[in-house]
Amino acid sequence: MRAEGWMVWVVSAAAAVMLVHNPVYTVIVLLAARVAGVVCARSDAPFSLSLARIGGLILALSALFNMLMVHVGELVLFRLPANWLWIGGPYTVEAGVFGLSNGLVLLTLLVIFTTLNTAVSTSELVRLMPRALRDLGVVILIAVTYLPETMGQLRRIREAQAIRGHRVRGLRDWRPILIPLLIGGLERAMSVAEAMAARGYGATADARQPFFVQFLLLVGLLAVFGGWALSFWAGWPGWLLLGAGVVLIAALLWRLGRQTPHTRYRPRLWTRWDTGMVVTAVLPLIIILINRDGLTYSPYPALDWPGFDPLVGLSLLLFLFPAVVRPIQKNNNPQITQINADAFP
Amino acid sequence: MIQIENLTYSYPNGRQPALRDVSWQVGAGEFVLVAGPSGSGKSTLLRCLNGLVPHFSGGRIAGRVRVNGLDAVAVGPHTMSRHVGFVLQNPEAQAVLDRVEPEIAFALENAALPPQEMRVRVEEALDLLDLTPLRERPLSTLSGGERQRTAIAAALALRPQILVLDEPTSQLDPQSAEEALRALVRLNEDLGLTIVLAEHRLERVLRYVDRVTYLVDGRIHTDAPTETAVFQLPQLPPIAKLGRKLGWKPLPLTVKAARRRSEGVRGWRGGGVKEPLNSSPLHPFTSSLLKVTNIKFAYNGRPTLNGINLSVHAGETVAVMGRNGAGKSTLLKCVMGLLAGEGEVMVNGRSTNGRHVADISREAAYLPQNPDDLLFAETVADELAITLKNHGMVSGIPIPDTHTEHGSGIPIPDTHTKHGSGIGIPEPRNSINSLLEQLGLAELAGAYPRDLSVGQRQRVALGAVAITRPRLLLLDEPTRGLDYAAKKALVNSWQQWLADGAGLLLVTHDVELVAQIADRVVIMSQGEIIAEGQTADVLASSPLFAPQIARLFPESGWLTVADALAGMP
Repeated sequence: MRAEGWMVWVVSAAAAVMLVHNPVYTVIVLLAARVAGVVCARSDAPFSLSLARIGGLILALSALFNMLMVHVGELVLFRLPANWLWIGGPYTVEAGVFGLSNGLVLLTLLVIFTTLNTAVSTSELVRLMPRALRDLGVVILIAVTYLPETMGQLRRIREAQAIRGHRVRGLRDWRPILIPLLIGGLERAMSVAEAMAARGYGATADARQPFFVQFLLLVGLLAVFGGWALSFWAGWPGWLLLGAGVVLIAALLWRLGRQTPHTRYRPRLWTRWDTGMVVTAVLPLIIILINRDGLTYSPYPALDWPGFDPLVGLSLLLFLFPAVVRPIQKNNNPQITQINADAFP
Repeated sequence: MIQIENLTYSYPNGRQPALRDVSWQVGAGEFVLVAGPSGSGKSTLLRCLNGLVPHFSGGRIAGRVRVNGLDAVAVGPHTMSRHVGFVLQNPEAQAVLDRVEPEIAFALENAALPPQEMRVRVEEALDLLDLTPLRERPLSTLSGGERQRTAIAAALALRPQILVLDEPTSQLDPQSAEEALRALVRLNEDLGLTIVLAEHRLERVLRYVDRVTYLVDGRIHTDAPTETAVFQLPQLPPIAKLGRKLGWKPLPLTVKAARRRSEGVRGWRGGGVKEPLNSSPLHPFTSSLLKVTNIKFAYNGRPTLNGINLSVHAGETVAVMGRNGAGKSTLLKCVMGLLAGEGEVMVNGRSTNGRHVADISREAAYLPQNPDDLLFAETVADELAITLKNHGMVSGIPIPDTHTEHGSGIPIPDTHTKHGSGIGIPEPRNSINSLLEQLGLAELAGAYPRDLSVGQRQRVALGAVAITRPRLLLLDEPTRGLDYAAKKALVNSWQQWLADGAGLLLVTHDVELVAQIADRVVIMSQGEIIAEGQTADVLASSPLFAPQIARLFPESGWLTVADALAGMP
């Protein structure tokens, strides 16, 4: 599955959760995303969060915070004196439930991004950057490889200082550790830079962009922010301006990308599965936007069961698509999935 | 292929030129070794070939550099990257991306090759260096030799006609180095690739190369085909050195070639077995400086040490050898308390159990692999003084005032009152000066440590860990990346310690060093000791660890050139 498909999946799932804000639907997306994350994990996924523990923490904190701040509702648990700033007043079940529902949305977003992280490698994600921004992408990738090496270096230096009888007691005692780390890091950076120059990198960096391109880029950014601000008062003209800004920036990046002479090694082929991924990811969002009324759940002013529309609920199951497709791909062509499993760009 | 005329170059802050009036040529298909002590201009000369000097480094340059018909100085590294592949010393510090395949493709993407062509070239490069099975692996999971092969493949992806390598094996253990060198020989012989290789470990590479260029102080000292150059080189591998002493012509560079000549040497065959000089260094009454009993350690659940027993006695040098990952460094760290292993470690007759690393390090000096991890002070003398201060062994310190051109660095507070009267502790200034004297660093006491050469930095680091005058020295690959002179200076500095009754535990891959100085050898594999005994017994019987002289005269008991010369009638 290509990273583009996954990006659409992530954006759509996140948008669905935030638009609907209904615990029943949220739980459906949460489970679908988690299943997809487990099934599609790369063989060398970097780390796995302990989601159960973090999830419990998010839910508890979110409920607690909402109860502290919001004192509306009929089912009152207890009261603090009303003259206490912020935290004074009645503590209600409704506020707790709303906090929980908020926490659930946060947790689901976390699960969605965790899934992206385990299913797609950083280098593949960086490749999604517009070609004009390739330099930025390379910097990110170097940082990804640079970080673990720096951690290793830090450990070695701490050992080296410890055997000189060094102990870290105060802030000043970090000097013997930071200086070798800094100098060593700079030396390594110089070496990497030299290796890159020797392999023909950096000729594109001198190519200065003509003035009008920079000017148009600025205009595009202004249009995006202006349009966003305008949309609060004026509605659709604001959105129109924002859209125009986005189109302008995209066109500029595309143009700049064509100017930069470099190519990409071995882009993964776009298959019908990728098309399927995009369609199934966008479909639930469309259904939600059409049936938007009445989907959102609010326990205020009185606690009630959240509503449920079977059509919307079922459509959200479409987020399971990658989890369903993955075993099929594996069976059909073990050779290809072998490559997919390692997800190289 | 390469023509250099009257090249003189100075680095931006260089007081003297790094290269002086160098005129040099390399023909197509040649395999040339650029040798010389560190700081002789090897790396600089190599960097002129692809325009990194002066485009990357700055500085002043005069003379002409023509490579493959192009003026390297004028066109710069980007254009030259298509003609010259470049591999650096440290495999870790030249990887741009995180996996083998994209790393190889990086240069091709920069050159904007069409994707189809790119596929072909990456496959080619993978095949040439036998990397196909590793193609999808993250670089961090590869061994040093595999990483260096990846770097070579990445340099070859653009199909350059010249491959330039700057000490590509100096950070590798012998097996990995051999692996990388054999790959180069194949490229040279099968593809006719022109190869220029800088290296100071002549014994590793001399037999593969067609020509040797020896640099001294930025000038060409010797430039001749290998067979004739060996007569003029200041340093040689042991068999060639022996051959020169015995007047053999041509000088043998491989054990195979030397074997034919050695048949004529009398005295080693039939009764020439040498009595080991000190057959019982384990005097039952000398207390052991280090006694390790049944040490076990598991790293992430994977056992790295499996019940190691080891002892080091006064005046004794023990060498620990073995493959990378055999657990050698882990053993040293367990002794120092940096890693908490099971079992018992006795240093100077006292258990290290529950003691802080700082406390143990007063009685046992540990020199880690990379001296740069230690050094941070303003002057060499400060480095030593700071260790004393850490241990609370300073009493009102004026750091050598004769060498304060760089300023005396960190003001060291008077810890006298805090840590008692310091009875029995020698005057710090004297102890610092005398140790610097012993390390051959007396003249450099005021210098900034990081400006020194690798060998000097290694000795400063040794001084910094050993200023407390412990009786036990633990050294982790101390000669890695050092040239002959630096190695000799380091070995000399150990002699004084040994004479004073210290013990040395040495982790190393350097067979010739072990043959020269070790009393006993321990060979480790997979966290266990697989062989242990007198140096001559262990080394001579091992095909992998035998020094060249032992291979040449099997069953003679000889390990070094000096042994052989002394043993011959």
